[in-house]
Amino acid sequence: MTRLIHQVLMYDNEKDILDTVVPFLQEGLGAGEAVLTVGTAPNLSCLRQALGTDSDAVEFADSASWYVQPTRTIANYSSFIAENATARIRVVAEPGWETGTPAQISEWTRYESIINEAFADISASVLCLYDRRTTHPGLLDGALRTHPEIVEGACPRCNDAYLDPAAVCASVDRDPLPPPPPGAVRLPIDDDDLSALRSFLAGHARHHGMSRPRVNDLLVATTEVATNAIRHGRSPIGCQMWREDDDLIVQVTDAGHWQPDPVPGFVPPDPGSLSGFGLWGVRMLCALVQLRTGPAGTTVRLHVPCR
Amino acid sequence: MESWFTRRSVGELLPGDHAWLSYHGREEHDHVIGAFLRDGLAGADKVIYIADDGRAELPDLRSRYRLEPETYLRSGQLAILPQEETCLTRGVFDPARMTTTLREVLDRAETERFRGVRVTVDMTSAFRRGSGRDGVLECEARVEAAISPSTMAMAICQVDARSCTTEELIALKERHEVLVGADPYFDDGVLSITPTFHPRGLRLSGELDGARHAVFAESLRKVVDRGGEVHLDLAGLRFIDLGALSMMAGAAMHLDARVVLDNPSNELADVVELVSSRLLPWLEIGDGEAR
Repeated sequence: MTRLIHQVLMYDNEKDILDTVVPFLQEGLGAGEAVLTVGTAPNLSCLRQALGTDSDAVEFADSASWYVQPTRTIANYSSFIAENATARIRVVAEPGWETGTPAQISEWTRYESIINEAFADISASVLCLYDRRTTHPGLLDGALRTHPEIVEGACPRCNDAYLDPAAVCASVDRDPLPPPPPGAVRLPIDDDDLSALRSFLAGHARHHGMSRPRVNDLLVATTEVATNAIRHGRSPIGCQMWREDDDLIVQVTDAGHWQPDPVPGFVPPDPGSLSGFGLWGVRMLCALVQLRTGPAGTTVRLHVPCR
Repeated sequence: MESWFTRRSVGELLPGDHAWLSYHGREEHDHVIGAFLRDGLAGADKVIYIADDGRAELPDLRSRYRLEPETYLRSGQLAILPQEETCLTRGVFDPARMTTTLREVLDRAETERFRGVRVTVDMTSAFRRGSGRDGVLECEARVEAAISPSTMAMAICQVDARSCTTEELIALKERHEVLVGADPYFDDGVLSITPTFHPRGLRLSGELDGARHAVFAESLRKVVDRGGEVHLDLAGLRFIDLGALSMMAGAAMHLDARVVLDNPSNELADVVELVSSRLLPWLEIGDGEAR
């Protein structure tokens, strides 16, 4: 079997987990597969106990650190796959998200969808867990559209609500971004020397109490996006910045019509090739990256948490 | 505790500077001393090279800078003085003789109406003769006394670091107020790129982004062409963009060289670590030590 099996289990209680997940893991261990379980702390401890000594052969990771943001999560799975290149892979994946902003919910839905494409050729069985009692309906709805198979009563069946990844990605990027607030600060970018832009951003970021490592993330990500606009976009190029809850948002706009791939920059580029590094790096650095391109030009909006 | 010293690139040396160079190989020696001689000859300075074994010590000015030493020797602007005639007495290093020679040289240059005087002397073999160490240290004190008040003379004392003990090097270094190093390949006030020789590589300071990728690529090519492991000292680098990191990885990948990033700030190391897992297996973080 050389293709990805990507299933979802929406559970209502611990018994659902034990009835489905424990046999799923045991089957993988019995077949000598590389087995990874990512879950919330209570579920990890419950599964460890149920597996007994078998749990020694399972790699466990906490959802809270594994699912920080989509690009890093994909990078985590890519690393696990690379480390176990010769084995068939089996993963229990519980994102553990309960809620989020509409943009975050869309982005996580896109993430689940990208998995189908990015890892299509990986010989792996992935069972995703969603707690129906606590998870935001928008996330549950997204999970229904992004898993080709659904597990109910310990039996998988084909999911009729599944949508093609290109359709999911297009729907995420279809909604226009809300306009920047009136208080947003702005700076035109009319020089390829971006040190002035960085001083401007760093000054405002510190004013908002952003920590030093996050300021650096913001500067590296913005420099990359601005460089891209200078090299491939059209003037006028501008930068705006504002605070939104705990995040600082930086937006770079230009008058060009960038037409990126349908799923640009989510998957780690091939180590043998250096193309595609920039946007992937930007996504690694930011909590959220939103791209919009249309007749009015191209907009890239970066969200970086202050802490 | 190196804060007592002033570090200057060879092009920044000023009259009155009695500078110190401990080189780790011919390449570094020729790079720094070559620039010192070229700047003097191309200007209107008298240039004096006090050599242990004559012409062989001189950097190849012809291939490096298309300067013909013969022309300058004939005109008297360049003088190569053997140590035997300038600072040895019966084969033993003689500080008093060296001081006399130096004073004569300075006086003569003044009457010959040169703009300035540049003196360089390699102490490596002097160190090994008779009362070497103490003689050299005494001599250094006298050179300091002769050069420091001068408004037209500057000097570089050199020693091959590989032939001295650490204690000897420290003792010698303490006799100098200025440590001289290579001129930067590039410096525009925002970014400076300077070659390093021990370990071999580049020292980057300031900010490196897309506006300076081209000059960085050129400098990187120069150092990669020198072969072997490449160290990039990032201690003074406040910012680096993803494109420049990618160029470093590209150099390592295409030329099969090891590229080590030394002394990055915490923020910079975080970025490298974040993106390195897959894309940049070619780069590693180091502490400035060659392996």
